[in-house]
Amino acid sequence: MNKQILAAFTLLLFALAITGYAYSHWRETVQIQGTAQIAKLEIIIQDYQTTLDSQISQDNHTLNLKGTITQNQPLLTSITIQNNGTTPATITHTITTNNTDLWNTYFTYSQNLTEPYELPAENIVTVLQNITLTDDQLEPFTIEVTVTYTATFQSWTDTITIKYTLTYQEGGT
Amino acid sequence: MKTKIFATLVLATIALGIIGYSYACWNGGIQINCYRKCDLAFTSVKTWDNEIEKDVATVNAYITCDKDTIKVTITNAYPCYTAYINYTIKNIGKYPIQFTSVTIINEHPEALEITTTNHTGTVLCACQTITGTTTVHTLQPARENWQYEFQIKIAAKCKPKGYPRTIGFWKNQFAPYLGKPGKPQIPAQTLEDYLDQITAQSSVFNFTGTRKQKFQQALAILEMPRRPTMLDKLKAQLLALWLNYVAGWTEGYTLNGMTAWQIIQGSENAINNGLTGKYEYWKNLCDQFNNLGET
Repeated sequence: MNKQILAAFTLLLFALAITGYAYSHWRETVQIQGTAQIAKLEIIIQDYQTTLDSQISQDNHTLNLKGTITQNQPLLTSITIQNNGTTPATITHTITTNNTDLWNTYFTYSQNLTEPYELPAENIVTVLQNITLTDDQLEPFTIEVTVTYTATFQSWTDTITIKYTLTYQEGGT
Repeated sequence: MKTKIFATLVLATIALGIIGYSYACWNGGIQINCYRKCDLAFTSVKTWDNEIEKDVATVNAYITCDKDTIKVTITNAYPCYTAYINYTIKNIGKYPIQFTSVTIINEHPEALEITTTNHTGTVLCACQTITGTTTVHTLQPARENWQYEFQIKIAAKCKPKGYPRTIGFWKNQFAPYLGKPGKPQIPAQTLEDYLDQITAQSSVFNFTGTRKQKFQQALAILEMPRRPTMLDKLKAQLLALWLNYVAGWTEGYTLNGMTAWQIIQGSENAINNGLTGKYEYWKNLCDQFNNLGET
């Protein structure tokens, strides 16, 4: 019992002795705690309408379209682009192909998107693409056409891609 | 026997408690009964950013209930986005407080560039406030759809000693060594050293002779003639400021943006050039500086 009392008092003594010392060395730290949440830029293919065979990637960034094309019959494809990010996106597009001569000479292409198009966050825009083969004096061929939509915000970019693989068969439908 | 041991231990406990308490009081920083504590608090915070045309990102900040912390939330930041946080810290204690360090903890300097006002060394007298600005600039490599955290620690310590003392304090230091009543807090040798340092640096004061003679000269200036002129008043306050300066008790203090040294130089320049119209102005500055520790 005596030992317990002695131990308790010893502890108490130390505690009291250091209390004054601690108080006399007052220190304080005020602080600024911050969290910076960084935005996201992303566009996706939310929906599409086409008469061609289609396959869309899991991330909704690439749409593969495959089929035949006939002279003077417009190939209409509707693409709904969604701004899936948290910033506005400025959208522009480019077209590339594996046969530039053929594309430039015998095809016409149009779309209804006025560029650069400002797409606010969480908004959508539907683009109607029209590809037409204008000449009927051709040998059979297959052409690959890639339409890329690029979203830009500051230094960030994101793209979606529509890849056409079109086959022309002489006298085909 | 047990009772005696018990009583001895209780007495020892109380005695040691008093020793610790006394030491703390003597050292000036105790928080419980030796006057009011040393304490700091954020009193205001404002935020803004560099967005002009589009309002994409936002910055918000608030002071927590304990007034010790500002929580900042930046949302939807992107490269080149800069958030500004303007804050005010107030000394809500009794004693002057000196800022000892400002530490920025930013584990992602490649993503966030953080700068903040460095208060280190600044002394904040009771009830005084100080403002600062923290800037958070989002850099190009910042990762999209990510979250970064940062922290700024502004450390301070109580500064119970080393604040400027009034003319009365200095009179009470010299007077007892000249046979007048009172109990000086500064040793005579230290006071003489102070006067010698002032003589070496000042173009107005020149204390010569024995220690007693030097003290008499100093006290005469501090006490002023019965009908003092403005020059007498200026010299008295200037000498008190000199004493504070050589004692190292003006460090970290400023008045109207001026350091003690600048006020000393201005005052001596006025005296040496006979700028009588400026005597009162400089006298008031010296007086106010000498009273900074009293607020």
